[in-house]
Amino acid sequence: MSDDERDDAIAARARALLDQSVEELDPITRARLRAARMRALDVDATVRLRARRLAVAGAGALGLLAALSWWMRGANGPRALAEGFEDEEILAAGDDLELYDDLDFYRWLEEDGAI
Amino acid sequence: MRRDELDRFLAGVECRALRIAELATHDRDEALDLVQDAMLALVRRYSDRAPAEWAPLFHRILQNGIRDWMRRRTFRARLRAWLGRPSEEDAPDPIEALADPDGVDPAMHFERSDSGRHLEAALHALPLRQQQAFLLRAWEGLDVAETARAMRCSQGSVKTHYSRAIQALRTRLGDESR
Repeated sequence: MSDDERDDAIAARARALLDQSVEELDPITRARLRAARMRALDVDATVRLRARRLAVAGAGALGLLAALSWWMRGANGPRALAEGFEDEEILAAGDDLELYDDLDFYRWLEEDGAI
Repeated sequence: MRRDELDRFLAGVECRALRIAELATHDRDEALDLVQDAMLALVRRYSDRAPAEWAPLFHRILQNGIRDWMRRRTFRARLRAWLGRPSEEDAPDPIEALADPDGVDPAMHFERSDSGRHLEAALHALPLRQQQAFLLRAWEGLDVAETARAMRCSQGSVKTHYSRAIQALRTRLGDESR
């Protein structure tokens, strides 16, 4: 028998004996292995379910935030914009700003017929 | 679907994985823990990979676990020696002295078989890397490249470890193999 054939024979014999040792594993050990396998698969399922729920909740929260910010812009935007335009008109008019400060006084003069 | 595939893969590999871990640790409970950790890690990290990749990945995780276990054991033994305390492994285990209520222990049956006992002793006596290379190649049927991935070494190293393992087994088992 050549060295290679002898090596193959050793490997084959080892395989057979190891297979035999697996066949002779007791039911309790097999049950523990099965339980470990189920635990590994269930843990994975739980982790994936949690990740999916988290993703859905995150997407919902983002959507809500986007809707809220869109609504806020819609509610406050035009008024804030109009106020901005009024201010710009006064500034662009080139009038003396003190005139606006004393507006009540000029109205009184007008009503009194002084002007 | 993927869960069923994983279940089938793990069911097919778990008993041999236990024996591989047990040959390295000589402790069934530790071996069971190592196999469970390997299953969890495979399912969590690599369940999305192609099923053909699972075997080398699973064995890589298992072999890493065995190596870490051995390192921890060596560290504890050194620490105990340094502290001057006797090793826990040297103390008799009171549970081992209890009679098996069923009267039959298949593991003991295997132990009683001369061939099985000699082979187990010969495999246990191998350096860890040789033991890994032999079991993965000869028993798990991984090719050289897959074994190299599982052992995180080069293909040349796998061939060397395997060849040395065969030589050592031939020497230890002697005429039994002829």
